[in-house]
Amino acid sequence: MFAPDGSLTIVIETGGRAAFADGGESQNSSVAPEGPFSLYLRLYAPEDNALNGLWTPPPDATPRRIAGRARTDPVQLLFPSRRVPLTAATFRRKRLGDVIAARRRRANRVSWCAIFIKAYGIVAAARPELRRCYLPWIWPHLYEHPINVASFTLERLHDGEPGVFFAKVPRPEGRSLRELDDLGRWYQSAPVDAVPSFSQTLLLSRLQRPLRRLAWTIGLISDGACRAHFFGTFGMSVVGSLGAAGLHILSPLTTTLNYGTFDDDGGLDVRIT
Amino acid sequence: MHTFARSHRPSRNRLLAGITAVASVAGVMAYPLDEFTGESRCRDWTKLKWLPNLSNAGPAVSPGEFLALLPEPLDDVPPLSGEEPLYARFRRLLAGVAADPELAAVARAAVEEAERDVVAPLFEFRNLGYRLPAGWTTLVNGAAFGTDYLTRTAVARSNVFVNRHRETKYYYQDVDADGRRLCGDHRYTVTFPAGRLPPASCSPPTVRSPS
Repeated sequence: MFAPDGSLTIVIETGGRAAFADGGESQNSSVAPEGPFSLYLRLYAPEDNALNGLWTPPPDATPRRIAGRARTDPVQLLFPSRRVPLTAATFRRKRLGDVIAARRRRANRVSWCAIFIKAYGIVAAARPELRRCYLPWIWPHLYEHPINVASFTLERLHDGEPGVFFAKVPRPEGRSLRELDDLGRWYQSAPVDAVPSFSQTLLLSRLQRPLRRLAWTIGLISDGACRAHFFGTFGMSVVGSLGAAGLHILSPLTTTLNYGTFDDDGGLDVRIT
Repeated sequence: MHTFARSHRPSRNRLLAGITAVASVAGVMAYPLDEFTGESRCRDWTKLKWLPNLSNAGPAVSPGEFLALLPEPLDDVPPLSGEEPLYARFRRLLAGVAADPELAAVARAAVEEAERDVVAPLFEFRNLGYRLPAGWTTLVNGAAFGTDYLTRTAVARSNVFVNRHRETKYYYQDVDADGRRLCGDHRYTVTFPAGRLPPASCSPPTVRSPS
């Protein structure tokens, strides 16, 4: 039985069967045993949102929210500039000697990309500022992504030509390093047509230029959830492994983490833009 | 919507009675197509060598019997590719235990310790698979465990016979919104806000009682 607002509430209690007599919530009751018990939900033929972790059971730990009145002043400041109005770059030098040592000790080494995605995912999950982005439409506001979706670009051959594709990892903070590493490898090695986000990119690239720009703009400025789905919430630059480092990367995402190469003493430049 | 609870514990006999009844009524079974002869076939399920312990009452194999029973599954179940050295190690261990009573005592103690400290806690859903917000946990490799022995053991102990996650996605919960263990003397509600209903056909939350 759905409530008038369209929500669905299930009651779990010891006297659940008794509730059948008086109608009301009866159809939504489950009977709990005496003493401690556990619950489980089964989703038959689950849709992609359940499989990729974009949907999780309630209550949502960080409900989707749009920053309120108190935060509209900075938005007014941002409004005049087009596209990504303001970017700030921060720069830190990290000593990661013990991380290097821990990584060396593992039989199967995981990639640095996986380590940084998980590390930044944990930080961004704890700090809402890192999940906030600016949406100019319909009115200018800051939107805070309820979950993290890591996004990184990678180069793959398609029809004999190298193309740049986007790989996305929802909720990297809840995944093991091994899983992130395997996912990264999958994005590197799976057939281009088999990866949904790659097919989207290909589909877009077939459009005429004005249509393509329109699709990008709609995707970026409309709904925040849609934005997270198609573009991710934070970017991860993966050029570090090639010995290169960007100084100031422009991107439409909330933040982009960008790391360079290690010194001999384990020092590493990390930038967030 | 149908409401049900998993508080009953099927005994081996009840299960067998049920299976036999179904088999004798239906007279239908599934088998590989290349064995098709046109004759109807039947299988006597009561002659099954082994039946899983479907109750939550305790381990399917008591720790004391574990080492004595281990050779049987090692013979029955062929190793996955790459597991051959692991099988060889198990067999060496079993041979050593059979030859040396002192070693047998050590091995038995180790099995009991593993049951107590590793396997028993895996009955709790919170120790299973991956953590999601609000205390839920889920599986991504159900019924396709590969060499993920820990998750395989956890599922065997806590919710045996799961499907692959494309078929069924499971979400498990042991605690309430404040992180306290779910308990029958409280009343709980699970609310799916409009627009956040489960993206699938879904069973209502199912209740599992411990041993």
